[in-house]
Amino acid sequence: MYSGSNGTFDDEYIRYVLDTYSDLIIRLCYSYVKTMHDAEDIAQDVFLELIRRKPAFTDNNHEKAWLLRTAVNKCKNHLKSGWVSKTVPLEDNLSDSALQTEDSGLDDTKRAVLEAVNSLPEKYRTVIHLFYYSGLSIQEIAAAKHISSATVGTQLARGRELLKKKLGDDF
Amino acid sequence: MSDFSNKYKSAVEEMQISPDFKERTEKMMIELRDSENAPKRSHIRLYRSLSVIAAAAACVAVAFSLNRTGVFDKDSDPAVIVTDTIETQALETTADIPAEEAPVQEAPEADIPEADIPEAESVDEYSIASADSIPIPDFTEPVHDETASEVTEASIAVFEAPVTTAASVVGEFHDAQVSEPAKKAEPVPQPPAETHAVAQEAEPEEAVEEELELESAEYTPPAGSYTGSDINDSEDEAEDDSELSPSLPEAGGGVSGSGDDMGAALVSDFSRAENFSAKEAVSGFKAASSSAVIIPSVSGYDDENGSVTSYSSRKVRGIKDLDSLEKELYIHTEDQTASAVTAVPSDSRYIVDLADDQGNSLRIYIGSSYICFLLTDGSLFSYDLTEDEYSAIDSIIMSLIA
Repeated sequence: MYSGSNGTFDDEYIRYVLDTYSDLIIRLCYSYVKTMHDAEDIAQDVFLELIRRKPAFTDNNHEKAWLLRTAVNKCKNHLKSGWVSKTVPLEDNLSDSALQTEDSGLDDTKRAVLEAVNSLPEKYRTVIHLFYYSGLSIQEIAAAKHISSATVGTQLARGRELLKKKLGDDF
Repeated sequence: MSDFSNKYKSAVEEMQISPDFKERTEKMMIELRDSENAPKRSHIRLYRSLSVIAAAAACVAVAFSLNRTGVFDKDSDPAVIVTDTIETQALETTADIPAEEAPVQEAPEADIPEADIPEAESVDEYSIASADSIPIPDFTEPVHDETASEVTEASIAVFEAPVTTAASVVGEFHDAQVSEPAKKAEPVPQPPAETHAVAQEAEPEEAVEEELELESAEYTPPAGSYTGSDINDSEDEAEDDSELSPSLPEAGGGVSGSGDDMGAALVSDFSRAENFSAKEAVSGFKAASSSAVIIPSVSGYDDENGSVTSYSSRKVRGIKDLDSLEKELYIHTEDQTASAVTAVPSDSRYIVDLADDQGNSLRIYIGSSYICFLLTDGSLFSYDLTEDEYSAIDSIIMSLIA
């Protein structure tokens, strides 16, 4: 049920969008900002942007791609903002603290995997998240990140190598 | 690889998301949607501003249009303005366009006969054209069968004022009409015996003012004639601008005076044409105590500029002028015998009313070929004049009235 089907953004469509894409967008944003509160704020801003722009989608894939791309751009903007760049220089410590507070229910294996992914550089981390959690293809990731498929493949390969070094046999 | 994927998915999914995230986001999205659909305050302000500006512009436009139509002009009425404009345009059209080019049929005066439209621009030419186009009776026709007052006023009214417009001339003429057509053919009625003189007061524009030194000699009615009357040859003379007060004959040659012995004497002495003497009748009016009112019925024509000159009545009281005038009136009749006539001449060119302080009067009609004397009893005696004789009288009279 994309907006192009009836051309309106009524309450039903809003609930549909939230039920379908809210987890996806939030977790994508989390992979970027590494905190659930910021991820929720950015995801909320993405859905509000959908109401402001009122894009006419041709199909569900178009709708999903538009939401992912908007989320990626907002996450990048968030990370490039002065407040984040000046006051949160230590990602590892924040991620560790976040994991300790928010993911206290995770077992050691899952926590180790999550910490290993969060320790990757941003460009590799996003590709790993979109590829393994969101289930996007290389082309879809390339469209969402506005980069070429070859670059996505390269970044995905390098991210795997880094995860293999950190996780060892678990990867 | 698949083990890593499952572990990573479960790890990410196990991360708790705020339970009210969807509710909060849904509420915010609906509010945003509703606010996006609703008109913005800035738009509302813009619309209000545009409405005010449009209303102000409309008011200015209406005020400007009303001002152009003269509604705000306190001194004028739009209807009057329109009427005046139309009339002015009509007048300008009539005045500026030559008569032969003027659209007579379309002009407001379209119902006026074409012949009545003046074809000349100057006043004099206009007067000529008016005289030609409007059926004005011949001014040379003698005024007869009128009262003395009517004669005086009418003649002065007609000949004093210069001819200006056809309408004024016609109006003056009708005012001056002294006799009805039916009365013209009637003989001069006999004046009543006891009719008192009515002193007519008329004010000619240029009356001759004279200061007279009157003789102390008292006028003595001649016994049966005017002969024997002394003529005072006093050299003092001046034009007298005083009111004309001759005792002119009443209508039909009415008698001034009191029906005294003189009237009876005239009737008795001049009852027959053979006995009438113009010299005796005229000489009876002493120049020192008499006056003559000359009423011209002619108009001059100036060859140089083609203008018509009208002459007004003139009262002559200068002794010298009066003496020469009286002499000229009878000198041509000395060798002739008068002939009695029954009707007042209708084509006289001058009328001379002689009167004295005693209330005696004598009216003299002068035509191009005759001179006719109207006595107080209504008797009319006429003499023939040659062309030279008339020219002599005409030159004397013209020298007095011109």
